[in-house]
Amino acid sequence: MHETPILKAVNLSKIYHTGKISVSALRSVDLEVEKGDFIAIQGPSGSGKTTLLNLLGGLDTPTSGEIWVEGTNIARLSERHLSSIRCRRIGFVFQFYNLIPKMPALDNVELPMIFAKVPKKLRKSKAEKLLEAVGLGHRLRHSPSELSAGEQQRVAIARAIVNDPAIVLMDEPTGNLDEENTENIMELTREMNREKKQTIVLTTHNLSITRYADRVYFLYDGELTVNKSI
Amino acid sequence: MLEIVIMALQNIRRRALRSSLTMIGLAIFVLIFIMVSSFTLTVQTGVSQSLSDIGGEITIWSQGAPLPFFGSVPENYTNPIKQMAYVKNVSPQITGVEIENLRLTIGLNPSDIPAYYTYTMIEGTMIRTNESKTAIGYWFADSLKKHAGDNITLNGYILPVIGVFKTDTWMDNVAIVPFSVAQEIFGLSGRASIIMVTVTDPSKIDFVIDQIRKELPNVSVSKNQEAASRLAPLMNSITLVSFTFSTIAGVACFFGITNILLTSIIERTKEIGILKALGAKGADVTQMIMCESAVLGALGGLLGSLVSMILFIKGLLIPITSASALQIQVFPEVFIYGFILSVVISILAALYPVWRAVRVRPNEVLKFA
Repeated sequence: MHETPILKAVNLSKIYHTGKISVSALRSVDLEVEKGDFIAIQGPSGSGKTTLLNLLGGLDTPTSGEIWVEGTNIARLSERHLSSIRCRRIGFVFQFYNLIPKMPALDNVELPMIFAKVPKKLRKSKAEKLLEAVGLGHRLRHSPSELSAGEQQRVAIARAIVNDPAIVLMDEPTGNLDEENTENIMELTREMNREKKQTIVLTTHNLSITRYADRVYFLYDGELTVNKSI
Repeated sequence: MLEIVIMALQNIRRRALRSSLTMIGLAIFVLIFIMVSSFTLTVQTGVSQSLSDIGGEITIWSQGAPLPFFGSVPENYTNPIKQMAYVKNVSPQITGVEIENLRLTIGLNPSDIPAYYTYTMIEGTMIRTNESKTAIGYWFADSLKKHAGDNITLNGYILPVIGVFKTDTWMDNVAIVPFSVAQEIFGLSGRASIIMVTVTDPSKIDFVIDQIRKELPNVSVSKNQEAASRLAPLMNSITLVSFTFSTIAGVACFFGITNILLTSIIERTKEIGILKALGAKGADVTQMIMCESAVLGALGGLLGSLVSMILFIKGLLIPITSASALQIQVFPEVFIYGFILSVVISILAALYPVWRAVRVRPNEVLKFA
């Protein structure tokens, strides 16, 4: 039996208005992601990858179209409901990690659990466990400035999955990393996908890392034009 | 909620310099509020107390003058009053204030002193003749470090101190000199600041007042029990000035704190965007910033109260009073109001920054590193 897609975009468009100029960042994008999928969206800079992820994650609202997350159309949800979905159902990993600079790694990972009202004891133990799992058990009290780029991204990944979201959206997660760290992060991501059955949607301009994904989409000038299976 | 409070406290600690500056701003407001309010309440309480401590039952002074030392009446007005029925004693007195140091001098005939004032001598004797000598109150002596046998200067006149007395009233801040000497010192020859009257039968006070008003229609006559109410307009003016000063300080502080918080929010726009991307609701961000602000308000209020208390203990709360006879009093309610105002101002100052923070859209601030 065919399951309902965990994430679906229908005829999704986004137009940015800057003064009298309008820019179409996304044009009628359709996308279906099944539970446990690992998909990569590849495209050059400025193709609309970040816009697409922001829309799928409820960080932005589309100009038109629908976005279904676990059966709920989030395209027109209130900010309050979107916050709740971002908190529990979706995890984000950004290219520049976006850790809170003055917080140690442990506190950064605990943050999403604070908004999900997880009790303090459980928060701490879960954050510690996750940081250990990503190989940072010895760096719990280090602030982001004391961590390498690869370590910061591992903290960001731990933070993204700490509330056990069904979907993890990764925007150029290796865009700022060297080759070795890129390999490590991608191995970690594939492990999350296989062991925790987490659905991964990843954007990249780097063709080489798309090999980790089950499916690869190509986004160019706001159009999801190519869909090829690996 | 508790977690958000803890986050707010951590944010304050992480931004120690900015938090300290905010607290100092609030503490200065609280200090100004406590200074101005204490001064006002001290003056109001002091004047009310002084009026209730005035000896005698009827006071006569210049019509239209809010206080005795702002006007004078002819000394010979005492003559018709002495002839009136039920009048026991009539005492012309001079009340003079040295503008330079706000010290009060009372001049009255030595023979009238026991009828109007109760005192205990702690050094020397009370004035008993019309010689150019003075007896001074305990606080007066203490503030000048003078004793019986020393000389003091009153309005440019040097007078020997023959005694130091204690009354446990406002009179302890006063120098008593013979009436004729006070007339000379304050240039009131042939005149008196006030005329005090006692009656033989307290039930006849109103009758005597009516008689005085008929005989001397151009003076102000009042029962001493009602004297405080006559000063209500003056006291209201002092309160208004005090309120204005505190309000100006409060408004300046409000804009200062708003500016600091707004700058802080702008600096933290990205951080707020991250929190929202991670699931923080507008209410979470509001609680966090409001809580930070309230805690800073409370800490600023405590700091201001503490500094005020230290200055008070050291006699520096209102520096001008250390050189005068005015003893600033501590009013616990002023400290409580100062603390509450500090918290309220900082919460109000956070409203606009919070509004800005809640409107932060995560997708707009997370685009770049």
